This record gives sequence, structure tokens and C-alpha cells, in this order.
Amino acid sequence: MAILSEIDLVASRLSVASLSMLPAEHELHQYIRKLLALLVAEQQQQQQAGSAQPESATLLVAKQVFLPLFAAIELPLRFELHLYLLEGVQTVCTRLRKELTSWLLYLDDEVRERERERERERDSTLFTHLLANT
Amino acid sequence: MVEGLIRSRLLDLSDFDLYLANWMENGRNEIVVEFVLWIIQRFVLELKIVEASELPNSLDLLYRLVSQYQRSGLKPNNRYARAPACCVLCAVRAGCIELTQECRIS
Repeated sequence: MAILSEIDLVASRLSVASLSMLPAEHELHQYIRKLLALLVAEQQQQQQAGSAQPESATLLVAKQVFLPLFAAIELPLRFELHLYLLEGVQTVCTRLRKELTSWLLYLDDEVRERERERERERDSTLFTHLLANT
Repeated sequence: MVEGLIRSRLLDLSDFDLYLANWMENGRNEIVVEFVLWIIQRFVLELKIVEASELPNSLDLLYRLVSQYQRSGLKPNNRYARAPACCVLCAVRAGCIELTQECRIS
């Protein structure tokens, strides 16, 4: 989701020690409010369309925010940002706490699977490269 | 990471408790037993941001394990499940929040 990249970009330019030091009208807060509004709109649209899982897109976004959390432990501001985003998503998605609990406990599996995927991608790129050069 | 999620109330503690209690596999999974003891030590006793009553299944199982170890006279292998663990559990059970120096898990 492009807006997540925008949020990351804005956050990377911040020179404050904590998000609490930012004014309510800061660009970052505006992006976060925009993200939450988009998620709510998507959920409403899904509900109107009779979807059995209107929160699925919201949960996908939440997972994208959650997975880098582990890597952000050494970066306090980034870690705070991701927690803050998840807190925001929680206000529009009641299922999030249950999902987060499950994601946390299966995080190792998820990380391993991602590593395997990256390895497969690397292998396949390498294989393609080798074939092209034979 | 766990601390951040718990502090932000982003975890469903009743689910968390159930998962952990199952994963302890009646004490066979010592890594999880140690993890649960750390959770209790850190969040219930030190930071006081989780109530002992929010982890009933994990605490029940740990209490049973400790009682079992004490009755059998066997020493479990993991460092958290030795004497300090008993102290932690007893402190939680008794609603005693303050740990004495000798009970503190090192």
C-alpha cells in the first residue's frame, strides 16, 4: 500500500526522539488518519458487498505493519511508529488483537517462511542467470 | 517486542494465555516454560501491567508442574524452574507483588 511507504518515508526524515513530540497536525499524523479512513471505507464497501470478511484488507495492512516490528526493535522511533499504527488499526478493526496474538506466536514460522521464499527467489534468479550465460 | 505489544494492549491476553499453556505441553517444552516464567516475572511482578488473573491457564499449569517437581523430588533442567520459579509462582498465587532479593530470577 503506497500510503504505508509514504508514512515510512516521512518517519525516516523525522529528527524527534518520540512521536509524542510531534504536533497533532504533523504530516505523519495526517497520513495515519488518511490510512485509517481508507481502511474504514474499504471495510464499509466490503460490508455493503456482502463480504464474509470485510476486515481482510485491514488485516493485510496490519500484517505489513506488524512484520517489520521485530527488525525495528533497535530503532526506537520506527518501533514506536509501527506500534502506533497498529494501535490506530485496532480502533477500526476489532479482530486485530486476536490476529496479532496469533501472528506473534507464529512469528518464527513466518520469518522462516519469508527467508525460504527469499532463498527460492535468489536460487531461481541465480538459475535464470546461469542459464542465460550458458 | 512482546513488551511493546503488551504495553499497547495490542495482545489478546486470554488467547495468549491459552496458546502458552498448550505450548508448554505439560512442562515438556522447557523453552516455552522459561518464556512463560519470564512473562510472569517481567509483566506481572515487575512492570505490573498484566494481572495474574489474566494468565489463569498458564499459571495453573506452572503451579501444577512446580507442585509435581516438589513432590517427586526431581529437579527440572531449566534454570527458571528451580527454586526461584516456585517463589515467583507462590508470590503470584498469594497476590504478593513484591519479590524479595533471593526470589528474584537472575
